[in-house]
Order: sequence, then C-alpha cells, then structure tokens
Amino acid sequence: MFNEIDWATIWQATGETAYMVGISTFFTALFGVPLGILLVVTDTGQIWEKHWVQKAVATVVNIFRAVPFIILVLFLFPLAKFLVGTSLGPTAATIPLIAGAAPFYARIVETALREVDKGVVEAARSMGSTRFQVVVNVLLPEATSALISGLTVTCVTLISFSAMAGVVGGGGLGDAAFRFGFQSFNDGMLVTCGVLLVMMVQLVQWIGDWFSRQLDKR
Amino acid sequence: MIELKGISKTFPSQKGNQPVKALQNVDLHVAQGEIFGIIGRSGAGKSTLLRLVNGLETPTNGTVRVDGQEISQLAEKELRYARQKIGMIFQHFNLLQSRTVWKNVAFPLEMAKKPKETIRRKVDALLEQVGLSDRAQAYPSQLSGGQKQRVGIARALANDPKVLLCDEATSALDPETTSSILDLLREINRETGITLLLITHEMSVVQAICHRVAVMEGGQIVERGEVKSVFGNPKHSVTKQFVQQTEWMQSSDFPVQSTEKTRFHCSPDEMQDVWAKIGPAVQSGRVKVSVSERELKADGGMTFLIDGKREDVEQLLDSLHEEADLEVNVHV
Repeated sequence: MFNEIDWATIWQATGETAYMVGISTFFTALFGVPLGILLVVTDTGQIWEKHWVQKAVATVVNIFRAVPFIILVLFLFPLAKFLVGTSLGPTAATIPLIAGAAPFYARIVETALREVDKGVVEAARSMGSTRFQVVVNVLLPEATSALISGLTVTCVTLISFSAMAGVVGGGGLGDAAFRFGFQSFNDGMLVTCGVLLVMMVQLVQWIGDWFSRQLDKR
Repeated sequence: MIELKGISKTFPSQKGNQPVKALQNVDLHVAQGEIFGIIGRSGAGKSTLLRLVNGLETPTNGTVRVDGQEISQLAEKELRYARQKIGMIFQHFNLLQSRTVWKNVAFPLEMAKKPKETIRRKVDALLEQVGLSDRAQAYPSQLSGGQKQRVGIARALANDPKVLLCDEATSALDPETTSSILDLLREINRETGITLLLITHEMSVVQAICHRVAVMEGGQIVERGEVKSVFGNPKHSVTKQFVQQTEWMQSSDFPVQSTEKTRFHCSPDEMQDVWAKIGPAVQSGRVKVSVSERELKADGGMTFLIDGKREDVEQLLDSLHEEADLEVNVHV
C-alpha cells in the first residue's frame, strides 16, 4: 500500500502546511496578545477601566469564536483575495486561520494575565509605573510561561484547522490527504499525510513545553 | 511629612450590598523622621488609610498631603513622580516572580528611566544594605520569607523615598524573622531619617519600633499618642484588648502541661465574646490562655492556647460553647 506514495507531493504539502501554520501562528500572537491585554486591563477594577472598550472587544472575540471554522473559511477566502491578492493556496488560507485562532488565543492571553498576582501590579503602581509599563514590565513577563503554553495549544489547533482550510483550496497536508489519498483511493497517501500531521503536533507540543518550562520561575 | 485632614472614604455598593464606609473623618499627622504605627483589627480601615498616602486610593472627602504636596489633587504624571518618593512594602512581598532579586530591586529605577550605570551602583548598594548581595541572581521562589521582605525593602528604597509605607510587612513572617526585619527598618530610619508609616495587627510590632501609635476601629482613630502612654494607660476597649493579648503572651512562666493543652480558633466576629469569657477565667488564675503570634491568622481571627487543669479548661470551653453561643473550633 505504501509503494504508490508520491513523496514529492508529500514534501511539498508538508512545506505548505508548515508555512500556513507558521505564518498564522505568528499573526495570531500578534493580534491575540493585544486583544487579550485589552480584555483584561479595561475590565472593572483593572488599570485602565473602560467598559465600552471591554464590551466591544469581547463581542468581536465572541462572534469570531462562535462561527464554526469551516464557515469562517468560506466567508473569508474572498477577503483573502482582497488582502493578499489570491483566494487560493496556502497564503490565502492564512487569513481565515488567523481570524479563527486570534480570538481563541486572545481568551487564553486574558486568562493568563488575570492569573498574575494583583499585589504585584499594585506594587508596580505604588512605585510610579505607568499603565503601559505595568503591561510591558509586569503583566507580560509574569505571564510569559502561560502565554507560551497557550500559544502551543493554539498552534496545535492551527495545524488541525490548516488541514480543513487545505481541503477548500488552501493546499497542504489536508489537501493532499483528501485529493491524492481519499479521492484517489490511495490509502498510503492518506495515512502518510495523517502521520505527518501527528508528528508536527508532537514537535510543536514538545518545543512549546520546553520553552514554557524554561521561562517558569515560580 | 504626612498630613491627613478630615478624611472619609466610602466604597460604592457592589452587587446590592450597602456602601462601605471604610474611613470616617480621620485626621493624622506624621512628623518627618518618625516611625508611626497604626494598629487595628482587620476591617478597621487601616489598609485603606495607608493606600490614601500614595494615591492607590482616593479619599471621598478630605485632603492628603505628603511632603507638602496634595496627593489627591495631582495629575497622573505628577502622582507618578510623587510615588517614586513614597516607598511601600507589603505583607506578601509582591515581588516579580520572573525577575531575579537584582532585577526586582532595579525595577523601580528602570521605571523611573534612570541611566544603567546609576541603576547598577544603586542596586548593588541596596543589596549590600539589606544583606542579600550573595543572593542577587536568585529568583524570589528560591528565597525565605524574611529574604523576600528584604528584597521588598531594598526595592522600596531604590528611588530614595522620603516616606516608607509598611502594609502588614511582618505579618507573614515568624517571630525571629519579624524582629530581624524590624531591626532593619529601625536602622534604615535612623540612618536615612526616612519617615515610616506602618499598619499592623500585632502590638509587639508597634512596641518594638514605633514612636507614636494610632489605634483604629470601625474606620476611625479611637486613640493615639506616644506608644508608652497609649498602651500603658489604654482607654478604648480595642486598645485594652491589644494590651491584654500581649500580656498573656509575655507571661509564659506558667508551668506547661502539654497533655492538657487545648487550642481553638475564633474568627474576628467572635472575638469580642471570646475575650469577655476568657478575661475572667485568666484573672482567676486557674487557666492560662496564650495567643501564639504564629497563630494570628490573616482573617484577623486568632488561635488561642488554653493551658491548665483538665476540668478548668473544660469549664472555660463549655462557657465559650454555651453561654456565649460560640462555635469555637477546638483542636488539641
């Protein structure tokens, strides 16, 4: 069953998946962290209490989290054409991937930042820190370990999302498994793509755990 | 140095509760170079009072002046500069877990945007002063409670403040460590002339280092003056309780009968009734009741240790159970 595996296609698909997941993980962190910070600092009793901001951000985040990913993909491929000039291939797939994962990660960031000891924030305020300094020098460094392990979870989710996005035109291992495996009755291709995805997840988890442990000083 | 006039603080109601009047018409004057103690049970308003001094809380009414500046009137930027000159240490130390001892002490200097070289010299000197030079690269999780508080003190002193606020700074420490921290604070006060305002629920802390004291209860200062005159001649019932508490702790010459010892814990609400029952029993000389400082709980409650003949101890416990209708949690 494994003699009909087209390794060239497999490696290309693996590269596409790594590319999609890498780019979208980066942008997920880039958007998710500020959103998570906003969700925390604008809440009642926090350092920048602004209820309307809190409500607005929370609503947007919830809407994106409520829409099933596959629907998000169908909605956002046209947007991808507008943003990155194409609605096909791995680059286009990053748009719905980021839109799906950033709100998810924002909630993880929110939880991680809320875990930071309020006493430490109070201490920083008592020393004359600005709000911005509190966020950059207290909240984020104190929560780094949790932020990394949260990003690991998000990245793993992105790998599985990328397989879905692949089927509707994104390319990558999901697409290869579907077209060259499932539709071509080639079980070898199907299984190989699956195994590679599992290995990717393991690798990401392993790297994430290692960094998270290194940064945990508690 | 610190002047509070006609201070009231009311916290707005939350979730249907009544608004809380944390402070009512409080006046306080702390002179430069003085060590001033505020003692009170938990919920007496002392923590809120302390936080008014550096603007972490704003008064509903009244004015707060520190070194001539009216704290409650300052714009945000000015308040930040003012805070750099008001150090604060905390019961739970509040160190940054992700920073080493050295970086923790450097923190307030970094926030004040001091040059790197200044920071390096200052931090080294401060660590030397608090006796932690050899632990500079350790993380807070690797330190003992006393060491953590020393880091807290070094950090609070980094911007050469004129005032140091101590928020139950020794309440999480054992008696020996407490006295070493108090020694350090006294030494810093003597050497730098810094003004210390501390709040505590332990009378021994006030007796050890304070020049003057104010006793708080129900959001008001009920008694104040020189430490010796306030505790030597207590007038208010709360002050009397604090005095009794230490007297019992000091008279430890009573023969220990460890097999008959009974402990019980009571919450702050029950305290008044418990004192009323214990007082006469102790005065009769038949039982000895002590309060270990270790057993003073953060909830403001206390664990008592009753010592004496079995029947006398049981009689006291019975009276606590039945007559005062207390649910004391007895454990031997």
